[in-house]
Amino acid sequence: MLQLRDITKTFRGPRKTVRAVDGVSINVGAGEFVAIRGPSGCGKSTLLLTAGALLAPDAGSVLLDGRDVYALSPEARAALRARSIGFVFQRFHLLPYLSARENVLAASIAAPAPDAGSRADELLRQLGLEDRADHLPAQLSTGERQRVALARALLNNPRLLLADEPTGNLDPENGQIVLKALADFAARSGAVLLVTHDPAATTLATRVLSMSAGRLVNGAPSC
Amino acid sequence: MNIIALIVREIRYRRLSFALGLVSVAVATGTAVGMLALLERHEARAEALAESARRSVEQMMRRLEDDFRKITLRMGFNMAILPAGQTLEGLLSGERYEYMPEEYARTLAQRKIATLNHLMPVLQQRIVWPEHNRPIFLIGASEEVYIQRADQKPLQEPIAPGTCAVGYVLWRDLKIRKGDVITFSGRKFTVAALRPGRGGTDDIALWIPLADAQAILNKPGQITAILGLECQCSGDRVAAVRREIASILGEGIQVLEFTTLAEARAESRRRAAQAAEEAVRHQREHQQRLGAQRRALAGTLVPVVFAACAVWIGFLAFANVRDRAGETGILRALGVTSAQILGLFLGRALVMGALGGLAGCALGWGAGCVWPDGATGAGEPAAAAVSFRPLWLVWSLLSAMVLTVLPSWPPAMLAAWRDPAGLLRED
Repeated sequence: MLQLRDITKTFRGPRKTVRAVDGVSINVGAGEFVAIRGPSGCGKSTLLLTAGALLAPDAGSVLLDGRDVYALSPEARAALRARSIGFVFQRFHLLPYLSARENVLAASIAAPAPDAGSRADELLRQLGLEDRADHLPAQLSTGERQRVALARALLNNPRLLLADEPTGNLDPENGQIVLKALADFAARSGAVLLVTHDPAATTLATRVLSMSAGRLVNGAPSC
Repeated sequence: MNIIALIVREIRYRRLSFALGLVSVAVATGTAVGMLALLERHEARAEALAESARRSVEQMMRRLEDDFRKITLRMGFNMAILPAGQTLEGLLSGERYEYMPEEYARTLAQRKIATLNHLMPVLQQRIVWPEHNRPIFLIGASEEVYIQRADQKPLQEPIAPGTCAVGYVLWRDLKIRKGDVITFSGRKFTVAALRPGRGGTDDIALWIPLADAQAILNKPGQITAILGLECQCSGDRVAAVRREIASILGEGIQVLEFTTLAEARAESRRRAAQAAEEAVRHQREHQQRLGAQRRALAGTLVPVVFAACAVWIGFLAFANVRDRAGETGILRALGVTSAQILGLFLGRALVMGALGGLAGCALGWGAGCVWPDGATGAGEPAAAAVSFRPLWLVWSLLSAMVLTVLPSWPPAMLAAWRDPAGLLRED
């Protein structure tokens, strides 16, 4: 489903150019839960954003269902993100002025659907948030916020779920809930690419890769 | 969920930041509308003042003319209609007399001439009072011939048959008293009036009935002058009187005005009118200067306030975009397009502009209505109320929306076109 081919991404710093991702190639198929492990600053998040059609690589290509996402127009790429890709971030990125339910429904702005409301309610119920639907993010616990973010990522029935340190701010119990949800998504023929520095977060992954200094490595990663 | 819902929710959430922008827009548009309202109010007040001054001048001139009319009445006859060829000097000195029919007076009265109010045919001649052997000015006067109405009050006490009136010098020198019976050319007259001294030929005049004078002077049905009173008193009417008399009695007839009094009267009236017109002109010029000053103030103040407001709105918009970097990033990640992000920020600016314009229009109009419009002097008309103009609302809304959208455009573009990954990382 997702093919990353020889991805390279560099950032120009004040003193030198940093090669954040250096020739990384990964395939993630339907039903796969791939975790990339590595310490902070080793290029995991950059790779994830590139895979999510949010950050064009300097070299290499990203194919989703065989289509090069960066060959698409910005509008087509945005539509692709809306329909096919879900994101879960460590910092949740919930809109502070929307209730939990409205945050979930924010995913329908770009991909309106007549059943978006009922689907949002169903997702909130599945994630144990039916009583918190009308609360603002500031009124939710961190675990609840991440579950809202997860529900938002799942609203449009994406084919690919990209998770960047989704358990980074959570206690073990909430972390397990989120990881379980990701695993369930993969089990329903979805594809999950998770990046984390926490070995515990990779326990439910079907494949674990290590990344170090922008490259995939064998054995324990280091930066 | 859609972009409009996001705009509304965000405004409610960040209401302080929104209110700061809204107030500045309301102040800017309120200043503009307020200046428009004040200028309109000034124009209305200037118009009212000019109208008031014009009415005052009219009233004053009416009073003045009424005063002149009364003064003129007290002065007695002020015009003389003389036969062709007769000079006033000749008449008074006795050098030359020309005559015309007594009937002329009645002819003029029947034609209802408009320029004279009283007519009195007289036959006058310098003559020696035979009984006292002294020169006098004999005036045979008929009763007045009334032109407009039969019940007009006589300008001068009529000389009744068998009576006479005696000039000052005569009654003083001859020790004549009222009620005495005097004899003139063998005819007896009872003294009915003693005329006060006037310093002219009237002081040596003896007034007797016209018929007696015509008999004594052997001029039956003849007169030397018709005395008249022109008391319309509005402008130089001698020419008008002449035209009217000439049209009835022919071109040879002369009309003289006792010029000293008439000129003094006309001159003072002209000066009063000039002073009044000058006052009105000064008033108008003052109001025009005031209006120009206010327009100049509005021309400076409104752009300055708008510019300051635009800078402030731009600053707030940049702050809003910066605060919402993560939000923008996640929306882009969720597939929201750059155009929708642009709409999210510009929509907020539009709402701010619409509400600010509405509030500004109401504030400006209210301020324009209650703002003190300079000191109102005693008797001056109060400042007029300003009626609301729908065009002000349209102008206010449009200018407010331009005022909010233009400065918000650069930050909105920044949010719309920035790399979403960069926005997410920045947050």
